[in-house]
Amino acid sequence: MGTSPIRGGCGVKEIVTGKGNNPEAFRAAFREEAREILVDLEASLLELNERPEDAQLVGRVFRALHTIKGSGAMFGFDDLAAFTHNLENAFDEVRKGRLAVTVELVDLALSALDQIRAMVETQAGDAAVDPDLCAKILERVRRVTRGEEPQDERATAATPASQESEDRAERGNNMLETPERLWRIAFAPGPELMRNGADPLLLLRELRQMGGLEARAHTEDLPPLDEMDPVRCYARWEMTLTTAESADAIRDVFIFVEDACDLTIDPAEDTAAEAAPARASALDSPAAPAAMSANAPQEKRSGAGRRATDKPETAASLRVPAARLDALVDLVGELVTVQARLSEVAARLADADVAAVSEEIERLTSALRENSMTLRMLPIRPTFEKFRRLVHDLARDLGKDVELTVEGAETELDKTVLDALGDPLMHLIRNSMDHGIESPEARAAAGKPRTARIHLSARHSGASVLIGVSDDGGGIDTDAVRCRAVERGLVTPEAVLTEQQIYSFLLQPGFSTAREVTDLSGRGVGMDVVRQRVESLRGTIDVASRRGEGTTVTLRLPLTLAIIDGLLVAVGDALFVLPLASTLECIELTREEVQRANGRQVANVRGEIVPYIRLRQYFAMGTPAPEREQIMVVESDEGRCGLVVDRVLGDCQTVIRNLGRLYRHVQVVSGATILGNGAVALILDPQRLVQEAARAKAAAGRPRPCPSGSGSSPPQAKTTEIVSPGAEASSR
Amino acid sequence: MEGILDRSTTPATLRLSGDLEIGDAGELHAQLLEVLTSGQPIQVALESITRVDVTGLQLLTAAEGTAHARGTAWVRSGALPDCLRRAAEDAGWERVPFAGDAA
Repeated sequence: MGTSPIRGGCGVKEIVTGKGNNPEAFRAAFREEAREILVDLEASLLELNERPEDAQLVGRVFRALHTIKGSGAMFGFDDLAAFTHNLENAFDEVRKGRLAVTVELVDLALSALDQIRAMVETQAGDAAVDPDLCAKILERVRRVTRGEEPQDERATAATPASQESEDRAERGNNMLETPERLWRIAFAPGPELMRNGADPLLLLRELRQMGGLEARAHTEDLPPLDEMDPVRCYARWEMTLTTAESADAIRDVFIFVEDACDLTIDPAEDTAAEAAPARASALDSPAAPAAMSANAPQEKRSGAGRRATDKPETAASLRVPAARLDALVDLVGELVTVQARLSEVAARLADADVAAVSEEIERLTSALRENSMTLRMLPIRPTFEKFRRLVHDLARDLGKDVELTVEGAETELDKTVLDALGDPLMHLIRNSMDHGIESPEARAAAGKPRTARIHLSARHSGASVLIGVSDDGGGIDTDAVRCRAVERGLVTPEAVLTEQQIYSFLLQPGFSTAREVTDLSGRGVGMDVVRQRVESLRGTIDVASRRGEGTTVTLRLPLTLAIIDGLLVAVGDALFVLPLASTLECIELTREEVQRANGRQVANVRGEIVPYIRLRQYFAMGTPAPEREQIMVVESDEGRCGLVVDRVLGDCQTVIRNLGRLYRHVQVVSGATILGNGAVALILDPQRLVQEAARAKAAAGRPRPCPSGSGSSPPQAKTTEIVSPGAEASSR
Repeated sequence: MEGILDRSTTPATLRLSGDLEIGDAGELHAQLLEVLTSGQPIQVALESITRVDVTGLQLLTAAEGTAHARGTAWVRSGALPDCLRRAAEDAGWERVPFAGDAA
């Protein structure tokens, strides 16, 4: 006889039951959640800088910090929780009207946020926490909270003058004088609450800190030991809380578990002075809460999934890994291809039943495709908002006064496009801040407002999204850029260049890295990176500038990179797809009309002269043209333009396939698609096609938007590359 | 968390030590169940436990209740640790598990 360990396992925290019990998975989920909250928090802090009196913003900041702290502690990020706790205290003081929002406090909070972010990421090996800086920040936060840190002049000066601030002080005083109230809280954890890492005991202890808590656990549902799931919560609680805090503040305690519990918070009509007898009766009578809720306004949230920030619209959302959505879209893409084959077979069989099924499947596939594409569409707001911090920090570092304005932030675009958009936008904003925008003194001397403006905008245009980055800085010095281009041998001194052509030098690799050019032109650093990234997204860049007034860079990006509606057309044996969204109409072009135009490639479309490009000539296809051709009129930045094809075969849903690295320089083709009969069709980019043709024309010294048929086709190498896959496709 | 069954005492003593929290709940459950299944009278020594959460409270309460229902005597040996008492009070638990007289 002696002592014997029944099992090993001392001290190692491991949840051993249930396959979903993976602490690292919880921590990963926390990180993901925390990243989102931190983005919102940063945006809120920066807004707070502009609207220090906004009580809602203060509340949002407080709740975000509270959630980060609470959930951090829950998932083992103890340092993070302890660090955030101090900042949360500071904003609690602000919330209660005891502390003013100052530029200093916001800057401090932003520095702290950087450290919190590092703490979130550090276990994933992405960032490092600076313990010395953390300690310094903490000390300053504590001093600010205790009122020992000097307040900046702006906020202090603004405070007495502002009616809002008086209101806020009033609210603060009211809060200080708010009498204690009695709240009845019914809390029934769901089966998954503890499995998800939450501990009801911590929640109860947090409630206890808010005031007098009487809690009673109901354990009647606790099963015999051998029937127990050890990590399931079988207990439920009825509580009364006497506190001066609001229902929101009480609910905030449960903010991270609301998805996984039933929670009822009933404010009692009586105040704490009358609370004692009520408290006793509440605990004695299980029916009391129900009776109370019939008379009092009920604060109930049950599994609604409210997040830390004030965004009720996210309540009914699900978090799904992006990879699953990508897999879904890939499958839908396959389905679209198979459906095209089915349509083809149905047409060939001429069987009414098969045709009916095929049409039905086509309809469903189309709906499925549209639905699945919208799943990946996200508003651009978070992408825009994260630049507030960049602008804030750069403005401070550069000694410039810059305001960031945002327009069309609700514009949605594909997640893949959004993800890739961050870097180009950052480069553009940095360029504007660093080189485009003048110093406040220079601006004042030029009669401009001292505060400069950077404007980010987004809007839909057909199948594209236009993202604009504008500034009201000094604009681009075209003469300087031109001189530099000549020096670098990019152009001859006597060449006649349009402004667009001059701006295009800025996008050249190497050109942008030359410091003297960026200083002269106000543009350049990393612009070739921007161009590469945008082109990899099948997008284009347009630069517009006025000397002394500012610069606008517009990125035109496809809405989606996966599937589009297209029009299938044929030129000889080759098949092409034109995006339906950019195609306006189709008109006939006869040989007589061609002859009447006297060699000029223009058509008269209801009185409007529309230039056109003959794809047969553009792609140097040797086949003879038919008697009657079709002009596909497309909308481009250069205006309306026609693309002449032999036949229009019909509309088609098109799954875009990349052409691969070999064809990456072929700008006018945005991809390829596999048709129902297995043939390959090239997807044309009408916008780029028209631009390239116009550029080729301008380079030839004849300023017309579209090339004529007399040999002004693009460089031969490009033509060869394009023709090859089309010819292969048509032969299948 | 560590559980050691000391058979040198009469009745045998189950000595629990360390944290009785969610990370240890599966282990604690298995150990309690193993001892309970043996059907022998047990003393439970809780003095060395350091932290208890709701999973710990539930398991100790269920073990005590189930043993009682099966007519097996499970009693406490030694002092009732503060952490257990505090956890039960904070959680509004009707009764601190194993709060009855020590063996």
